[in-house]
Amino acid sequence: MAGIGFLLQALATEGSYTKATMAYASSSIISAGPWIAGVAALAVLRGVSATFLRAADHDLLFATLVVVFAASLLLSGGPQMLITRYLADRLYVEDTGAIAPTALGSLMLLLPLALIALPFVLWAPFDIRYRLLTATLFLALTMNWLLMVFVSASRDHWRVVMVLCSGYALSVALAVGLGYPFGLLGTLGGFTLGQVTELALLMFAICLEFPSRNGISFDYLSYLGPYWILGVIGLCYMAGIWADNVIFWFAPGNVAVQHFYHLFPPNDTVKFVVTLLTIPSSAFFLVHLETRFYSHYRDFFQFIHRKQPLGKINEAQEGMIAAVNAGLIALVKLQGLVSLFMCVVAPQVAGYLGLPSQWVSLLRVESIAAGAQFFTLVMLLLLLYLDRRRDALLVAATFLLGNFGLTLLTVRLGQQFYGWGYLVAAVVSALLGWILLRDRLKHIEFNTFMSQPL
Amino acid sequence: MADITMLIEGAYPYVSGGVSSWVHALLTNLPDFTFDITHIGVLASDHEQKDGGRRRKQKGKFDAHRPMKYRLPDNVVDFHNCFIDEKGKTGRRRHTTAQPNAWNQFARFHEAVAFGKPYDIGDFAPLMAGSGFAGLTAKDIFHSRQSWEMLTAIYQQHAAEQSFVDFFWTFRLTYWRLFALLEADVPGASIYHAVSTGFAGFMGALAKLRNGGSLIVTEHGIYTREREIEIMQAEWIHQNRSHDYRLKERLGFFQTWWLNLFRFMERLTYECADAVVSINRVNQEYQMNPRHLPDAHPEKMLEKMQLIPNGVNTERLAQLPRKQIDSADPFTVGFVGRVVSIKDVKTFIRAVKIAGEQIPNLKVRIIGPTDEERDYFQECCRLVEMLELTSIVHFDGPRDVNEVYPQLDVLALTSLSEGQPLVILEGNGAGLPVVAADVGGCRELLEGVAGNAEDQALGQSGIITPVSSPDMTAAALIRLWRDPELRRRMGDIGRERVQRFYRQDDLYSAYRTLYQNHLASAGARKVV
Repeated sequence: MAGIGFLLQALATEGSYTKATMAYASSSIISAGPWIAGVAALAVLRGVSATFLRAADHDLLFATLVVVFAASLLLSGGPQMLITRYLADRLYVEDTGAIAPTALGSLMLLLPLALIALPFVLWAPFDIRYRLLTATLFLALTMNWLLMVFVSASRDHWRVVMVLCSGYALSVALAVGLGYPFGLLGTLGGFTLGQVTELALLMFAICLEFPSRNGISFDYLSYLGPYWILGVIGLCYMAGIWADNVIFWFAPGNVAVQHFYHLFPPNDTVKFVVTLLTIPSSAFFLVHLETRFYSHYRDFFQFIHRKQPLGKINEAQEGMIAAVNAGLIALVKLQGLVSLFMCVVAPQVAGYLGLPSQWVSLLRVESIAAGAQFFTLVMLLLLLYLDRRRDALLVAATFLLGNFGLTLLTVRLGQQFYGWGYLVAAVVSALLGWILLRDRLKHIEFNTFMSQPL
Repeated sequence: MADITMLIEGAYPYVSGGVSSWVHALLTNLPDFTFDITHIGVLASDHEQKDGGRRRKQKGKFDAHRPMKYRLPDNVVDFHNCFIDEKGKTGRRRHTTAQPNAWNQFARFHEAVAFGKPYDIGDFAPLMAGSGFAGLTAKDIFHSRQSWEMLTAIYQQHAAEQSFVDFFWTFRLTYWRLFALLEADVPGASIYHAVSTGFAGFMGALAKLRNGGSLIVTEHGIYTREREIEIMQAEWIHQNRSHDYRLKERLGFFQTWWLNLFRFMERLTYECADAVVSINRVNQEYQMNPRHLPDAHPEKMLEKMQLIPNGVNTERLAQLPRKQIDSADPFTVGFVGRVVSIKDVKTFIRAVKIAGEQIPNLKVRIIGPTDEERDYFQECCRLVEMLELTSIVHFDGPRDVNEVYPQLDVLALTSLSEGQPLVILEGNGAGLPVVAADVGGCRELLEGVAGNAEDQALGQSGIITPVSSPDMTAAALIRLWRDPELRRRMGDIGRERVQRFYRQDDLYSAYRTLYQNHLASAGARKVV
């Protein structure tokens, strides 16, 4: 019989389930780790340098360091997210050869960063050497935070921690070593030299660990198109962290160091201290929650691919939900204990930091806020695991707009409300993230299958 | 509005072959009726020439860009394409509101479609009266939460141990295709003439349910039987690996699902049809066999059934010269047909290898398009090389068969499935003995229709061989080579049989009567 025949085609029996897989396995430490380590390093340097720097120099140095840290974190947030995604996809196809060339390629970002720093170098009212050192530090810090993405590709968390700690230890040691004989310029120069050395070492370590035949690759730029939203999420989150600081810098009671850096020392100090409070939670998240969640998450997609019955896929889904629930409960307990402890010892800590007693309540409020902010981060990361980019953007944007708007409001309301904007924004965005995450996990099967294009 | 909307699946005017030739001849020879051709295909791109990867938007109307194998005659007043796997269709549907209980109805529909559950046509007919199913659109089926809940419930009930990803995609693919038809605009007509069951028959049944009119189905082969062969061969259909070898012969869960889909469409087509035309007795028996049609009503079928055999231009064929028995030319065996797997060209090639060891001056010509299943053609070429037959076997591509028949000694056919092959009629009509596999109507054509004493008294016009048997095919070729007198006698008998029973004019007048009757009853209905 002639041509009445349909070739029964297997259209895609496998959709694009894997796209989301593996993506954010390493991003958590990148987002929280260096920041915490940096804060710890600054705290140490702050104490030690006070012994040999003049008070005015000391103020200028720390104003500089705070603003440089803020600016570099802010600007690295977006690229970090993008490159993380790019690398995760490369690693998923086991293309480790792409890591080192991409790391070299990311150096290209120095160009736009230098452009951003250029006005400062040209017009800031400081010694040109000081301006150049500051700009160099800004570039080195930003690149270091970016390079952490590559280092953590090995998923060797200890190594990342070691690299971070040794990098900052070197910076602090050089700052003290050069600062003692050469004063302000020496301290800044030493710190900068430490960061530049760390940058070189990081790049070297990356090329050594992931040898590649290709020299340099700019392929990651192709992710700007489909994944631009990740860049926005990273930027929003980082801007959210700094929004209240920036507003306070221009609030009544601020300090203008050398008529250039506007700071609000109580809040800046408190923010640094409370950030350190999330170290235990970060470790717990990395070692425990993320690992457990990931194993079920991987099962979920593997069961689909390996043609398992729905019952098995359901088990993996329930495993994910259980891992998140158990992990979050443990995190709440842990972070709650740490923050509560801080609330109790706040007067003593304030005294140790030299904070006037009127700021003790700010320390209490922000120690809880820092915990909430950490939960926001956890929600962002888990949502990105599920490839819910729009949800993550919603959470990050809520955090940014909330912190910005509410902090503005508290500045108007008066000193007793300071810190509450940050707290409420962090709590609201964490809760929003949790609600979204719960819903997405509950319907992950529906979303995974029914949203597949035909 | 055309008198007749002809629904054709995967054939005319894009693919050449027996059915397409039959359609073209029917259209050309019934100029007093107007036709609307609706071609149902898989993907528009299957019918497009490469144009830099971009797909041209199909407009449905006569499309000069698609390579048609036939020029549509003037009485074809309209032409439509319906591509059931074409992407990007969801969303453009007009808004409909789901009927209450629609999802429960759809679940029952699904059980009938995929699991072969008995149903009564009267239950589903009103649900398919509008676009979609019970007001559900493709978008509802593919993306809604209710659909997800329904399909997981069905999965738990019927397939809890099966691969879910395959269940899900089989579900989607099934309804992707059915909804392409359920949501297609069916042209209005007085008569819908489906040239097979399957999707064409399904569309015909839908058209009748929605627009009224008569539905005529002509089955050349047995569509569902051919799909069954494909399904058994298909490697892409997932099967749980079973270590129980007793189960080896049974179809897997998803294979059964696909087969059930085709059986569902077949049954719907038969039930909605006003006339079911077969071209031979064998097929008619299949259509009547309750094993193939569970729950159908044989007595109702009997009233609808009609036999209209194929026909050929006997006058023209009779004028073709016959190759001289004592010709010094090589002994030439012709294989006329598309080089596709259902024709089982490989068995033929293997037979040639065996026959070639006995027949010193053997020459084999394979005449027909090779571009339909390119992979299969490549495999055939490789087989020819492997068997060292390159000097014997020639792929001639499409040729004017009227020039080819006079150069042949024997015509051979090894198909896995056939209806009533035109090639046999033509070959016999041209005075050639035929070696053919025992499928479809081949035996009837070569040995006479069982029960027709006059036909059987004529004798054999060729040799019937078992399906997929290179040995027996070779033996038949050798027998004919050894015995020139047998060749001549069989050729004579063939000519006589075709002249008597398979005249084109009989075919046309039978369809003319059929169309006229149904047009008249349509007119009568309109008057009332």
